[in-house]
Amino acid sequence: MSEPFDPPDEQVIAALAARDLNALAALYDRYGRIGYALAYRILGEPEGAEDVVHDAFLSAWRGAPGYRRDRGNVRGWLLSIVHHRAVDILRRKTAFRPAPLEAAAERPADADTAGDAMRNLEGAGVREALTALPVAQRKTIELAYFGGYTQVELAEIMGVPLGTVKGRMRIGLQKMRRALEAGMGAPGGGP
Amino acid sequence: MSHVLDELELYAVDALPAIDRDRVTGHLADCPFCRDELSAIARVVDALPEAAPDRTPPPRLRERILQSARTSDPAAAARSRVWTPRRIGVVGLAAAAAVLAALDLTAASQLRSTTNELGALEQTMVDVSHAERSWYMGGTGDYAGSGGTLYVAGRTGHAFVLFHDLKPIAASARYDVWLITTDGQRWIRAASFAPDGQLFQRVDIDAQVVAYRRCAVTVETTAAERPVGPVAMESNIGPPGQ
Repeated sequence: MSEPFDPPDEQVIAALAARDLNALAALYDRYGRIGYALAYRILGEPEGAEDVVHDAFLSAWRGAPGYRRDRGNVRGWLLSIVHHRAVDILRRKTAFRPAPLEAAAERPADADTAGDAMRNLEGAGVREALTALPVAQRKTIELAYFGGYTQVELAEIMGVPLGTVKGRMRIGLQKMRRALEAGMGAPGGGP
Repeated sequence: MSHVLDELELYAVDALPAIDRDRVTGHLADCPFCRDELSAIARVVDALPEAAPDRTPPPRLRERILQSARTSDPAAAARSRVWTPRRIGVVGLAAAAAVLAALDLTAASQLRSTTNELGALEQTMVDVSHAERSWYMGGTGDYAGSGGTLYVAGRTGHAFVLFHDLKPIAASARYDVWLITTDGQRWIRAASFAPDGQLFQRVDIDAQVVAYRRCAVTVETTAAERPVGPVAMESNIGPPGQ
């Protein structure tokens, strides 16, 4: 019987580049759930989220040979594909924007297993760092990242100059960075 | 050099308009200082998905992804094995061997051309990552196992196909890439090339892909206005929004 084996993300990507479907399955098992949660949060509906995650993992399957470790870890690379595709779809739906985070949070998260509970625990640290920000900074980050608003749109809907948008983003993310470094730390790659 | 520090946060969350995003991307390529700063910002942005409420994806999604990958690369299923630590080592070597094979690294004297090909490969990967739309064409019949992905950049409309595992063809023959209108009446030869025997081969497209609804690759021995040879692969290419 073969021993359990849980390779680092970089080895999974190397296997992916060698066209190994088991590597794709392993990548999905690690990041499929959070990718789906992210896409769902941005789009606000399950079918679109499923399509985004499907397309993102296929994009990773095809683009694995081009992955470069010096430009970020595998988790960040994969979730940035999910984010980019979800926001792209959102921006095409000009009449619809998702609810702010408070409304999304009111919808209960799915019941889960012990492993998912661990992710919720990690997520709690990020949510805590986000909610600890002044409202204006938090909303700027949420509307940009989860709402897909561009800097000009942010300035318009928040009724502030562009420079203020940039400043709120910068200070808000700096505060989050310090909070995460002082607490659990930002998520890294896989095992 | 003027830094772009006050734009990096918005760049990291993809909130810059395309023209500013491209400008910042260009600056980052030459500025290690701003790249380091972006890395620090990206670590925080990478954590933001954790703030999304947890959601369970539908169970079918895993198999749907694997099935799509299997369809796009039938040879992959045969290559896949149960993982063991040794297997991973072999896979790593296989990946390196594939890259070396793709680079045709046969002698130290080819170092210069290898460097050029590495640069071209890297450029292709950058172009792939920046492409906004793509469609995969799987090989059919005698050409099963080969395939190509048509990539289109959103801002410029520049397109190229990244082929893999192209089958050898007669020396007198060429692969022709065709773009076809919705009614099937108009066929435009967008590229014509011979396979170079490498694992991957990039072919640039000399046409505005968005004006067409189908793409096909045929094997031709003449330069006729319409294809007469067998279809090696094809795909619908939907309009924006699909």
